[in-house]
Amino acid sequence: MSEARPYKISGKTGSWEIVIGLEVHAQVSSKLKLFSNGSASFGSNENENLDLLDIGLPGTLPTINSFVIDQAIKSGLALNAKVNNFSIFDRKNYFYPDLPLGYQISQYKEPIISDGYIDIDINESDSKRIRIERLHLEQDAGKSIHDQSPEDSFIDFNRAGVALMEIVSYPDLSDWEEAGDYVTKLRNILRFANTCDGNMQEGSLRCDANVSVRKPNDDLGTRCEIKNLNSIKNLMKAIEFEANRQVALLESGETIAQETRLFDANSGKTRTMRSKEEAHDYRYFPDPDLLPLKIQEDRIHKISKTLPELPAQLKERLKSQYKLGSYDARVISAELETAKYFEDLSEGRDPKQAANWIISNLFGKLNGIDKSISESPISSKKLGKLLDLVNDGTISNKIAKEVFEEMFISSKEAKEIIEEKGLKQISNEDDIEKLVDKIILENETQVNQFKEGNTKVMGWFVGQVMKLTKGQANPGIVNKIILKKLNN
Amino acid sequence: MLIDEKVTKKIAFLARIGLTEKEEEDFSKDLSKILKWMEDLKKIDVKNVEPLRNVNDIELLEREDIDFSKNSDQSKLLANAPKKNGNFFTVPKVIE
Repeated sequence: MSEARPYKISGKTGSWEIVIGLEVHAQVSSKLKLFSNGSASFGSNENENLDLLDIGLPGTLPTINSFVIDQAIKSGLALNAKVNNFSIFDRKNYFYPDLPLGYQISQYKEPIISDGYIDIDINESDSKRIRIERLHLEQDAGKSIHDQSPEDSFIDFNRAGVALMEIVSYPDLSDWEEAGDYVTKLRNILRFANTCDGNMQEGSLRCDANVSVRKPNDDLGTRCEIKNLNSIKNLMKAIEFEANRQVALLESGETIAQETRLFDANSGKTRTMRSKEEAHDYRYFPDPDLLPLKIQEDRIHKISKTLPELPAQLKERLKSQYKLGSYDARVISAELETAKYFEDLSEGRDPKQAANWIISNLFGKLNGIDKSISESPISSKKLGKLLDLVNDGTISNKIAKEVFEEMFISSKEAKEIIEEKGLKQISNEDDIEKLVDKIILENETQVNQFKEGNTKVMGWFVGQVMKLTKGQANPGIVNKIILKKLNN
Repeated sequence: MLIDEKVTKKIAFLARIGLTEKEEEDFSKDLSKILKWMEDLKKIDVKNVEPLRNVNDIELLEREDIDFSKNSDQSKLLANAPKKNGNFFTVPKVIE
């Protein structure tokens, strides 16, 4: 039996609810940074993508990137949010070596986007609405590297000034699964909208989680913020650990200190990064170098016309165009690459068969080697050729699975493997008849059982033929011939 | 006094400015005077006045997202670094 959702923490004093709010930093897909001519590309050599502004040289002034504004508007629309006609850029002040200006340009009280939502699926039929408080634009900081020298920290400013969207949810999430589902969905929406590549390994999407616990119907508990979670797996683990830690503390009579914590993926634990007393005092104020950002309705309207198909719409289309069931449609629409793979594979083939192969066979194998569908050793084209061989009767479904396993390892074409291993289905009736005759002759006992009315023994005969043909006989023809012979 | 020496110390710390005791005392007085003046301003009724964001009546300029990648000369950008190693800027070790 599966546990009731949302998960609760069962402590000594009863059951505890978890309250989670998430802040997601999503890097805007653009050529240039938010306010400078520095390149926003990833993977360049250190300090190669710099403009004068990015390292805070005197006399430089920010000029906002027009496309980044469009990207934020597009993201806001994709998240069912309101695009504000008027928003303000503020300075968030703190000192750190990777922040040469001594402040980050961000948005504080008046963000570009407010009041959106994402619906997450909580089971087959129900969804839950997670409200989004805001999406604002801000600059990324540089990167400090601490392990290059014993005395110095090395700074790479390539990321400094790159445009980020900070997307803040309300504390509507009630367990780590919901938090994971929310980020997965948010990531997919941004990827479908083409406003963030969602690459968590490269840091294009990072999460901070605010976690607290409470007894049912109690007021909100004191929260802790866990910073810089760089994968959905770590996000979920960190929340589960943190909620349990807080319950254990409260039940032993201690209080929760409001603080910022870090998650250590190796130990699976969170630890204090800074306490409330050490909390930053950012002294936000409107950046005098930047005028208010005014967005006219016709700009919003124009961008709304360019909004591509989003996961929810794709899911509905999969149901209507390909007649997929809700489960299949949900799984196939979950990732852009999966949907693409599916649409390629089902081209000229049975969509249900295509969906089945992806969900039941391909996903299992990919999970086994921890790879995504875009890294699949079997392309949709190759898998399509395999399905064609099943559909034209060259091989049985069972053999196809064997060939599939082999393709996964060798990345050879299905046809090649079938020829090499002699797996071609035997559909020649004469050959099968000869085998059946032989089996009937040698197994009087089973023949008599059948004649006495035990039709179940049929399966045994089929099994014998399959054994002799290493599973290559066409099961339809085998059945037909056995029946014909036994009834003679 | 609106701002005492404790507050002045904190403001100085946040701005990474070192102050002598005498300066702390003087700045506390000066800052208090400024705040007092703000308090006076607060008395004016601005209920029907839109906040002024900028004295110029101009719109925010936007730049196009065109990649002129690496248009800045890296050696010039690094030339003023107080300390560097290869193409990295370096600073005394910081680990949070």
